Amino acid sequence: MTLFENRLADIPHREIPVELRARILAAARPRPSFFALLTAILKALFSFPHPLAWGAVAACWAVITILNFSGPRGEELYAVTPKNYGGPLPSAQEYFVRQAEEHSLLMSLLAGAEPVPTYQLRPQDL
Amino acid sequence: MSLLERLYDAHAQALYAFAIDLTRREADAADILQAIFCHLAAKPALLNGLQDERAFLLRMVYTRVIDAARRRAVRLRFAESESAVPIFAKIEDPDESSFREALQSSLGALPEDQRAVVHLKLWQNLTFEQIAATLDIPSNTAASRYRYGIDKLRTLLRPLYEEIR
Repeated sequence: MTLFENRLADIPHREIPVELRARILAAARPRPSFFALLTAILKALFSFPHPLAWGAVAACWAVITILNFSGPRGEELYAVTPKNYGGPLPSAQEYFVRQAEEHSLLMSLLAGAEPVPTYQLRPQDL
Repeated sequence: MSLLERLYDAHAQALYAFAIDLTRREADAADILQAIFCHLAAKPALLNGLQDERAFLLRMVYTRVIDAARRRAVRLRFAESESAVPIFAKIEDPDESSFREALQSSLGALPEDQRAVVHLKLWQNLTFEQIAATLDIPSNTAASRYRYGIDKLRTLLRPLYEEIR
């Protein structure tokens, strides 16, 4: 190179701004993928409350499930239920007859005299 | 130290100087550098097996400068539009300072392709073969552009150069 070219080559360019380094490297930092982001969210979600608390809740549900399926079910459940359960439910006709008898008895007790005429079941009621 | 940090510390000054010499806009130079480093972060395999990292990165700068100019629809002459941004280091000596200003102005008067070759030859110390590979032009073209550019600079700067010599 000639003297002139060397003279030009010796002139330094301005320095790159210092703050540019942090800005550019921050912008170029790899961003987490969608999967990594999802994993992080799930991890954060399941680490609060404490895993022991999640375990306790799971154990409670296990106990509830076991108890639910361990006792009598269906007809067996009626058999052991102490409520006044005297067998299968009455039919509609039996139910009306029984109601009519109870009503008649009640009316006679209230009146203290002649029993009130009971309901006469009509065929269409049956 | 990560790969990007090493690359930045090793080459950012040279890339910035090249970018600001071509664009004359500080913001454009910074954006181009950021785009390059983001691209390298996304595709680090680009650097595998490289023999000359500096030349490769300078080529990336040049490509992006051209792209930026094309995106502006009209091929703007950056030097004409933004001549106020200093591209050389400041100095107290008034004679030297005015010479640097004149050099900046003279560089701005060169066509972009000549300016790129002159910059790579003078301030990056690349050979004409390296310049040819960087700018994707034949070596002879690189040499002739350099010659034309230097001749023009010499003509423009002769009075000042003779004075402070």
